[in-house]
Amino acid sequence: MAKILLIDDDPDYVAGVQIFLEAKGHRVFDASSGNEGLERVKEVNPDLIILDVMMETRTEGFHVSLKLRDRSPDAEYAAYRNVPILMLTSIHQSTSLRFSPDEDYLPVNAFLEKSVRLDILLEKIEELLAAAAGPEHV
Amino acid sequence: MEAAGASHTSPPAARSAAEQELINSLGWLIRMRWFAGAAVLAATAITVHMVGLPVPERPAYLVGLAVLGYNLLFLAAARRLDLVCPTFPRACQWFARVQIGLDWLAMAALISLSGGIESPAILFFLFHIAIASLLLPHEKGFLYVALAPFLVAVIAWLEARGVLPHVAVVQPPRFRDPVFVAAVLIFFTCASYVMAYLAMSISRRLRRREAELAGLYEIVRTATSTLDLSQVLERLSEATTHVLACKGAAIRLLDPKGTRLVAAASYGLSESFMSPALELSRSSIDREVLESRTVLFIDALADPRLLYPEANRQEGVTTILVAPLVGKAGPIGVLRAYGAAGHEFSQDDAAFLAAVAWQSVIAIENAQAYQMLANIDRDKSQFVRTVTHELRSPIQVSQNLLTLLEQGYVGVLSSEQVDLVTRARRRIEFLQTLVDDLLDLAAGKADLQLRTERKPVDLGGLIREVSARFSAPAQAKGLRLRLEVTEEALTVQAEPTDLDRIVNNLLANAVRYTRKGEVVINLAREGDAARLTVRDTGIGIPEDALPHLFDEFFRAPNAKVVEERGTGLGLAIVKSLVERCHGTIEVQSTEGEGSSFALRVPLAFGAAGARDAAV
Repeated sequence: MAKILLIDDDPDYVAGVQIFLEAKGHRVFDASSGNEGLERVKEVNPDLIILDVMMETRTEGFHVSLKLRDRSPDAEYAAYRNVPILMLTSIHQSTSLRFSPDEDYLPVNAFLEKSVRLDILLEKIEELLAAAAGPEHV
Repeated sequence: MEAAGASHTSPPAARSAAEQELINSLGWLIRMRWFAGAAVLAATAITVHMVGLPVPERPAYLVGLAVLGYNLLFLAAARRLDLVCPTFPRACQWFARVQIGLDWLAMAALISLSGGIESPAILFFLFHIAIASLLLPHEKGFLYVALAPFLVAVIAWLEARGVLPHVAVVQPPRFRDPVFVAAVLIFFTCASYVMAYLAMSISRRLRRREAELAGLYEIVRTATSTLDLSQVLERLSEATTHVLACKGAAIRLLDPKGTRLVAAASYGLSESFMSPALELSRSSIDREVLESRTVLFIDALADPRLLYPEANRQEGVTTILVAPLVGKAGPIGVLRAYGAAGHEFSQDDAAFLAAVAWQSVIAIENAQAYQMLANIDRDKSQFVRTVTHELRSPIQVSQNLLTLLEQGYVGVLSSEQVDLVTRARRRIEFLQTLVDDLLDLAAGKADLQLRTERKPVDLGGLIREVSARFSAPAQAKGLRLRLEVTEEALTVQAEPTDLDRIVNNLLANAVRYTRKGEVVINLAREGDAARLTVRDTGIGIPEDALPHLFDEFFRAPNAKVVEERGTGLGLAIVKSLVERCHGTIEVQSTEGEGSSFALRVPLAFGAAGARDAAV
């Protein structure tokens, strides 16, 4: 069971994902904007963050991820730097990813197209959780 | 035909109107000279035998024959000259001078034979003066004119001194009477110069008109040769300056509100001079021009209506011609020509500027209309993309929610309920495919120029990757999926996702519409292109459906039988993507036997390129 923070401004999407993930045994917390999401990160201390790119602005998700992964020593979210981020894009990709995670520019762990089926979403979540948990167990 | 072909080697446009006129006139001069030579022979015969004047018969005939003789040479030379026209201006000028010079000598001989200073033939010289004034450059024309009285004076002097024999056509002879000789010479000189002046001023005005017409033609041609508005305006300003031979020209256009005149293009003027926008409410000159729709002459230093006379002084502008630009829907701006110190615009210039303005408006409105269409097209593509993006979000969410219902995440449903939800979810799924396909189609068509992510793609690798996706579905249907890929690495320049989508769609169709047998993917080199064939043993395509196969939303009737739903966009997308890769696609099919889609894409490097790449 993991604590998952879902930052997305579409309540219907949140409702669906929440029911699904909770049925799969996870706890889901939600936030409907980038700022609310940042607040809830501290509150919830999630194991994984699902982050929508387009919210109030077209790139709000990017800004949230940059804040969370800020590598300066006195960064506000230093404690959460290693929380995996799964970014949801609505950019349509018929085949491969147009852009992939980039340590500096797009500091997230994975991209997923928002339209993927829920079971694929779950697969990705569990992959990221396993990867994040992995090193600690070694 | 021969001559027409030869004259094409030197483009007529390279000649000025005056030069072309000179060529035409030289031909005309040669034609006239046949009559002149014949007239000399006839006049000699009449004078000697019918009038009985003591004109020396044989020399007079000789002059007539000489005229005809050298005219024959000129005719031959003129034909050659037409062939060597690249060296045109000098050769033609000299040709004209030689012709005129020989004519004048012949004329002098005739005058001498018909009584010298007393000869009535002196008057014929006036024709030659008129011809010389029209043909020769004006600055030298007046010198030539002086030659005529000079020749007559020389003859008079030589006869008076007894060096040349005098033919006495008038009794009593006056050729030694200084008053008579002086009077004839003075009157003849005056007549020559008046004749020359009249001929030159008429031809000058005609040539100017011709130059303006040619200029106007040139302006129209250059202005309509592009649809880029700023280029149109730049060319118009430049051409206006050249044709009016003035300091510069500028076009100011009204801003969208119609309150300010903003510099749109200029030529020969400094940026600081052009940069201030003019408030139409303050600029009474421009208001007057636009209201009266006439061209105004402005004294650039003293006109009280000027807003910035000081700027004119600094720029060295002393006179301005302002013409209105009035479009179908009203005023759109002004066209101005600027003259520096000493320049004066004429009424002809004003008429010319008005004509340029009229043509400019057409060119400007064309370019604006084109620009607007381009913008609309871009907006339309953007709109399609935005709409489809917006459609995807609710579709995804509905699908998620229906899936949850269907799979019993929120309570177990009756089998009837599950059935209904499943039907709804499938329809939504189809809608998602449709929207995705539309998005692909819009993307393929819309930003041809925008996307520059083209890179070398190895087709063999790509085919293996894509076909791997279909091995499971093919196996499930009991189909054989066979790859025949050449050993040679075939690299094409394209966006990888485009090629992926093309091969993906072709394979998806092949697997979908084949019940038994095999699907074969063949890749081979064909000259400078890669040829990729997807061949199946499927249901095939009816002959009458083949021409529409790549149309948007088209589905062959037998395809609908196999699969009820399909967007009919898959092959339309393939086609637009193939075009984007600069490739071609062809289909061959026999209904009931199978289909074969052959794709040809140019290889990234030719033989030379491949060597370069290897270095």
